Amino acid sequence: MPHLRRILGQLPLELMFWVAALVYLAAINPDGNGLPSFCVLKALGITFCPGCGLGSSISHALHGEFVISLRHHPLGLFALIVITHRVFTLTTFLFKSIPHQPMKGYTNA
Amino acid sequence: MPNIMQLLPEIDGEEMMYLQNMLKDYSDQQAQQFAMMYRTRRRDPQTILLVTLVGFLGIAGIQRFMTDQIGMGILYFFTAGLCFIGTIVDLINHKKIAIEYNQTQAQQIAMMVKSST
Repeated sequence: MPHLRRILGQLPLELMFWVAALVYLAAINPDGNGLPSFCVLKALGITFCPGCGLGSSISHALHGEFVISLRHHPLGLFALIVITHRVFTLTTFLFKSIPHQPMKGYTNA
Repeated sequence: MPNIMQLLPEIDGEEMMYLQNMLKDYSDQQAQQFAMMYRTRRRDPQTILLVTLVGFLGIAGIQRFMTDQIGMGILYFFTAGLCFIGTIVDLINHKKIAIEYNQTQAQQIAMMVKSST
C-alpha cells in the first residue's frame, strides 16, 4: 500500500526511539531482577562491551540516583543529557517542517 | 524560477522538492551562488550510510560527527554506538539524518545569499 509507506516514511523514527527508550528506562526499577538486556554483544556471547551498564546507568540517573548511575557507567549522565538534547532538537525540527508556510509576499491575485 | 534538476542534478526526492520550494523566488545568479555553496556543505545520504556501517567495525558515531552532532558522536564513540543499538537506529534512519542536516545548511546558506545580494 503506497499510503502506508508514505506515512511510515514521515514518522520521526529516531525521535520515537529515544522517547520510548527514555520512558522505558524511567518506568522500570533498575535494581530489579529479570530485566531484559538489550545489549547485542551480550546476546552474541561477547563479554566485553564498552557500552555495558549504560541502560542501568541512565535509568538510575532518571530516578535521581546519580552516584549509582556513575558506578554502572561513567557516561550515563552525559548520555542522558545528550539524548535529551537530541529529543529537543528533533522535536523542534518536527514542528518547523509541518505545514509548509506560504512564501512571504504571496498574495491572492 | 531556477531549475534544481539542472543546478544540482545529483539531488532527488524529498531534498529536491524542499530546495525547489526554497529557491522559488531566486534569481538565476542567486540560485547558482546557493548551489555552489550547498554542494560543498551537503552530506550525501549514501556517505552517511557507509560511515554508519563503519560503526559495526568498532568506530561508531562518525555519521554523527559528520552532521555536527558532536555530543552524540562522542557518546557513540565511547559506547560502541550505544551497544550497537544506536548504530542500528542510525542505519535505518540514515536518510533522515542526512536530509535534516542538509536542510539546516540550506537555510543558513539561504540567509547568506539573501543578505549579500
